[in-house]
Amino acid sequence: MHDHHDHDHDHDHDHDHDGHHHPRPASDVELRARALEALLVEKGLVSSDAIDAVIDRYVNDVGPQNGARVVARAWTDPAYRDRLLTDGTTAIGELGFAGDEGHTMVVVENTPDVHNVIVCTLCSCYPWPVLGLPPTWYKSAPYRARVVAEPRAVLEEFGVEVPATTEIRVWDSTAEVRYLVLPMRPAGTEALAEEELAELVSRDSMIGTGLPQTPAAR
Amino acid sequence: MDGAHDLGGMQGFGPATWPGAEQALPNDWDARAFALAVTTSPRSTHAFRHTIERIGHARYLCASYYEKWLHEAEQALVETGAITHAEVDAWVDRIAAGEQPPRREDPAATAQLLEAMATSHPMPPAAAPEFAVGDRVRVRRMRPAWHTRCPRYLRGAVGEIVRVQGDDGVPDVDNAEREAVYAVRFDAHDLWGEDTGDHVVLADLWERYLEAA
Repeated sequence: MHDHHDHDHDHDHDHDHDGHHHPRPASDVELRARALEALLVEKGLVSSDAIDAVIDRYVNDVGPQNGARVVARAWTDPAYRDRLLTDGTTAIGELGFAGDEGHTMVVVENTPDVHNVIVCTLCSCYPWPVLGLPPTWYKSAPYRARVVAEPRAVLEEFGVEVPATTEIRVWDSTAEVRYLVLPMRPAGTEALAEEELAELVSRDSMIGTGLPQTPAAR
Repeated sequence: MDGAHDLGGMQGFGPATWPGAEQALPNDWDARAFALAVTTSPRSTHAFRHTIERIGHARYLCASYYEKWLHEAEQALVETGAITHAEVDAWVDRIAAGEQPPRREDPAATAQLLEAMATSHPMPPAAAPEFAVGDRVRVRRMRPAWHTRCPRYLRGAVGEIVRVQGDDGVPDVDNAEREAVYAVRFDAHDLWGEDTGDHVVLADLWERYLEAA
């Protein structure tokens, strides 16, 4: 479900006779968000810097760049790959990624025979420590409703064609386990270093709705 | 409860992605609503989700994602007696009239919060699991009164245990009891009929949702 908020702030500002700026009227939900925060700050139930810090964590520090490092390490270090597939939580923790919505991590590996896809049909469970906050489509009704019933049709909409001989496994995150897909290392990347490989690993390739980039495509 | 949030298998929603669907936090207020909800949440994850499920089915499907989280944040604090809706209404009027909202800093508490947020507490191994890897199980029929994590589309279906995930608090009783959680593998044909694809669906299910098949 998408929002249709007006981002064109500049055109919505008015100047009154004193030359003061008056922002356009906020939407009801935006006003309510600001009102709730104001009330909780006033009552001492939350601090403004905590809100700022949580946003900063999930906008700037935690995102698919973390998962990409896990994948690139697994591609270059067979012992790490084995640890990752055996105990995802600990192996991901080795790289410093842990916390909420990633307390118990299971990593599922794509092979020529198996293609894994992650979903949460009941809400929007997603491995925050390695992928950050989920994109809108992941949380929305069409993906959640359809991917468990017709994954090939959904993957085609994301531009992913899985060979007919490859088994598609759709993991519905119905409990507190969070999943990360370990995609296949693209051909032609033998000479690349771990950091260069990480740049090929897209967010969607770790959800299963995409594939890693190839060096030629970059 | 069986509500509009339990979406697996439903039809008629349209394409799975569209221009703009890549964004995680489309507006500034989405980010603040997200942060408020995770920072102030006074109850369990299960109660959090159930509060969103109770929002009303039409609203559940129409509201934006963090609008539902904002509702949860306010509703949870109202239901636990920390605030009233009228107090939020009053601040809506004050901000609409141009008043600057207050700020309060608490660096020590914020550092603690961030530390807790970045610390994992993995599920412990299952102490006494009733089922083992390879067992065939049927998902029980049910009509749960409160929150559940057993999706409708799996009920009645037979699958195979592929992994014993560990012990965890049972959502249906808000963590009052703990038991084993299993990854169960289902063939698409057993969920959607013979005419559907040959994929596999796996879900994590608490022991009480399952019976031997």
